[in-house]
Amino acid sequence: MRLFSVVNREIPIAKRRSLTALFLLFFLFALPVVKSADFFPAGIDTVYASEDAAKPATPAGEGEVKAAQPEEKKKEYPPAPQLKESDYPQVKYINGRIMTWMVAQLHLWFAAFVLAVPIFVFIIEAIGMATKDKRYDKLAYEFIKVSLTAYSITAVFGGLLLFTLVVFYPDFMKYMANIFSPTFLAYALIFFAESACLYIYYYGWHAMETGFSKWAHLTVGWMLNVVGTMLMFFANAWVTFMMSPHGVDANGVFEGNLWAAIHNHLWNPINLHRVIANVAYGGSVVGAYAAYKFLSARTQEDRAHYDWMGYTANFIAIAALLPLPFAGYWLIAEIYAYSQQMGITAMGGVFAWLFITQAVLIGALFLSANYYLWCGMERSKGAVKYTKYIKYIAFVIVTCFLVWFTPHTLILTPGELKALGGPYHKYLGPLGIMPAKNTAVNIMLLFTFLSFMLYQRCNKIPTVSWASRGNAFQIAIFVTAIINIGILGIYYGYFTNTVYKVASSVLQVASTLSVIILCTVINIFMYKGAKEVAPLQWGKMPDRSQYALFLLAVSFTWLMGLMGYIRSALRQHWHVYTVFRDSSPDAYTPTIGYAANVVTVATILFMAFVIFIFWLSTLSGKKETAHH
Amino acid sequence: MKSIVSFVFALAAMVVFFLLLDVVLFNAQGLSLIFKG
Repeated sequence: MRLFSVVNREIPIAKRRSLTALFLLFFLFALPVVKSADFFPAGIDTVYASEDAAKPATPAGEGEVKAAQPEEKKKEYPPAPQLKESDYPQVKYINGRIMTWMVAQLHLWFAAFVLAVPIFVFIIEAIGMATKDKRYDKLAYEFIKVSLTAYSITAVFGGLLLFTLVVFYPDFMKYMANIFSPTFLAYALIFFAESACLYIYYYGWHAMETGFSKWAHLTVGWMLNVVGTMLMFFANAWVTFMMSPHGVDANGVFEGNLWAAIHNHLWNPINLHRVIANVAYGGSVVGAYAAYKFLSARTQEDRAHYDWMGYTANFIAIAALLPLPFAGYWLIAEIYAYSQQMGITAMGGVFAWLFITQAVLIGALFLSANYYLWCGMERSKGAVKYTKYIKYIAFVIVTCFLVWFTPHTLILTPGELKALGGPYHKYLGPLGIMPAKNTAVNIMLLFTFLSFMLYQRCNKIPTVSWASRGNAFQIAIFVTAIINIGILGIYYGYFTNTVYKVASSVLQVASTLSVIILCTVINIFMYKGAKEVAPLQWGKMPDRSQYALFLLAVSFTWLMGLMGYIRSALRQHWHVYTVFRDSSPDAYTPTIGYAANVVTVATILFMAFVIFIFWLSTLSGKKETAHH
Repeated sequence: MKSIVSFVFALAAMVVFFLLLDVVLFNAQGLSLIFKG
């Protein structure tokens, strides 16, 4: 109810502003919705157009009309072209594939960032409204300020990507436009709506600060997220159509149903994975910004502010990072379900070693996030009672990390093979397969959550009478969950058949999520009305802790680039998997080292742009300070 | 003493909870908790 108490002040001015804002929003949102009727011309009636054609003949007259429809569609949409090497334009001194790859990657990083930041800015602004704490509002404003410059760069790279694709892959773009042109137009319109929402949201922040206009402002934030997510879903549809084409026949002839092409097999797994990953990524980049500002802060007040900002950003990154492996697991399971060959190429074939690199990078992410939390305990005087446990948590996390990146197959010389007594190591070999890794990942997640729990409670003294029983219950939850995860991983992973091995991983995930949910619920009730040991000393952080935040951002960026390469390269020599062959001179799978170099150069470029953005925001900060 | 009793009780409760969770989730995937062959 406190939320509503801010309403109905300064009605005359606020009302005018709000009505204008609401009208504008309605217009912006209604336009794509109304137009969507035109964007799906085939509609649901034609979903099974090809199946209708396969049915036995119906009474004359009616049947003739129905049978004529698929014929017309086939005339309207051509098959996928069969290209030759000479059909791909060449530009002197420029490799089309590398350029498209790098531009697409840079666009994706910035897009992920600018889509994620509004999600948590909206949440932080809502928290600020609910608690009436101005600090949240200030923080949310600072977050959105960082993403504003990034937004322009995202658009620039988006445009560059389009030109690159048109220049180097004109026939491919023509084929995609034949199927997806209505979504291209929708994308442009929604992009316009997103820009409008973002500018109203940012520039209207101070003008819509009180009364009902604050609610209107929050609504603009909501709209910004809706249109941003819609944009991403459209782009995901194009990308996943290339991996798991739907709504086309074996020759690539479009059957006329746009929704079928959009709603292909991998669309939703990618949608979920990208939304969660974007939030984790956005949190990590903003965390790097906070670290940059913390290290360059001149006053204690600034250090305290940016320390708090860094903590919040790290919290967002970890909160999204915890469920991320599960979304990734679903995506790869769906890739296997769609095409076993594609799944094996990813996990057991040429890209398997990139997954080892992934394990190293994610391990680094977990270690740095935990390290930051442990350093953060220095802010509280009550943390002493927990510091003795940190070494045990570190030991468990490092052990799990080692299990995670133990490879299954090694590239060995005949001499090494002989010395080893076979292709697999006697003791470490069993750690190379998925049951060991699933077990390690789940335990790593549980101990990261434990670090977070210890951090949260180190400055609090519970006042409820059942606190010791609550603690006992939480310990029991952890103990039983770890035993359950261990049994599922060892017994069902090694001593049963593959069906059990795959099925038990779902149970492991459920166990981890149960711990997180149950312990959070107990904590909420147990620490209700808790006393503080002493006020938290924001800013009392060692400088080295801030480098953990930088590491988080760099690891995330590199990881996304490498994993994104796997996702895209799974199509191998196809533009659209099994339907439209890639005949360009670059239609081969490069070595892992080569791919990693390309991604690394792109990562360095991205980081250079990010530093430029941070520097720009420092300039505007100086201007604001001078103005005040 | 109170904490130890609570812990033992909680342990028993959580064993039942995870056992049920495993049975339900294996069953949902068409498998039984007890591995056969």
